[in-house]
Amino acid sequence: MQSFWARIPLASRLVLDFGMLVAMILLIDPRASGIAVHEWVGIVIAPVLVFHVTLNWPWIVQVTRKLVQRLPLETRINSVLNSLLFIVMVIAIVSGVLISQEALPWMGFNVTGSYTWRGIHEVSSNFVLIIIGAHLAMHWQWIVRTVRRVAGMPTQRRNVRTAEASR
Amino acid sequence: MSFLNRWVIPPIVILAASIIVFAATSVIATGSLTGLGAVPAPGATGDIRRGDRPPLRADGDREGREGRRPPGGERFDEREGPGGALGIVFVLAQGLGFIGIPGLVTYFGYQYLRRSPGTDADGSGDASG
Repeated sequence: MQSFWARIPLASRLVLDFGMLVAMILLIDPRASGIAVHEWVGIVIAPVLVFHVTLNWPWIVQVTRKLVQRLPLETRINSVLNSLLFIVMVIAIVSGVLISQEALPWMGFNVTGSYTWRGIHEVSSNFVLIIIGAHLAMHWQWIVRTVRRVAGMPTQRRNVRTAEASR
Repeated sequence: MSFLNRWVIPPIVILAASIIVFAATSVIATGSLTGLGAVPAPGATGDIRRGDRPPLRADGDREGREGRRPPGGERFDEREGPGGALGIVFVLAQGLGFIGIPGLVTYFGYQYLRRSPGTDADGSGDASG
């Protein structure tokens, strides 16, 4: 059991992450997708986000333990970006739930729909998109490597120390 | 790492962190821990702004969807995008803009930072360690 869960295939992770990106693009314009699609995709993305963070939990634990020690620049930037992304995504999802027009009323819940939460949702959503762009950029090398590995192409891992030393 | 530590505790911690983030936002924004204390903007009760949903009545009914809608007023989803293939292009273009531009800035910014003299790219020169 553990060996299976401990080894979720790389391709599945890639598909999950790509699915999250597609979902985020769908969420950008509720008028284009329709408010119902916007809300349901936003609700579904919440457990996917929890799963995504859980998959990367060992990295979080490792970085948190070494927070006051030496950490590569990339790791430091990633830890700050990931923390910010988590916070603004939680705010965007919860504020979205609180101003729901279709999904929650359909489930029988009446929500406040206040202007305050609408404003918070708009601001946090915009920040989510900006930080996702940065998050993607910081993981671009991983994405390229993983796509190559999944596609069976030879990976070209660049050793930073070697590259620095060679200059 | 045991199954418990790998797949049970992390989601619980993530959910707890989410609740803390929500509670903090709620207290700062609305003064209420649950977020339900949010009040409409001054003068907004009874009025429906363009693009805003009608306020809820005390009995939970939504009032004014039709009868009290101001001239030109509309629900949030009534204004539709271009739709069809053009709609997909529209959404993709927005996706490229909103996610792609910050992504490109970060990518090249980081590459520049990493190559800058004196930058501690691998953390080996960090005095804190």
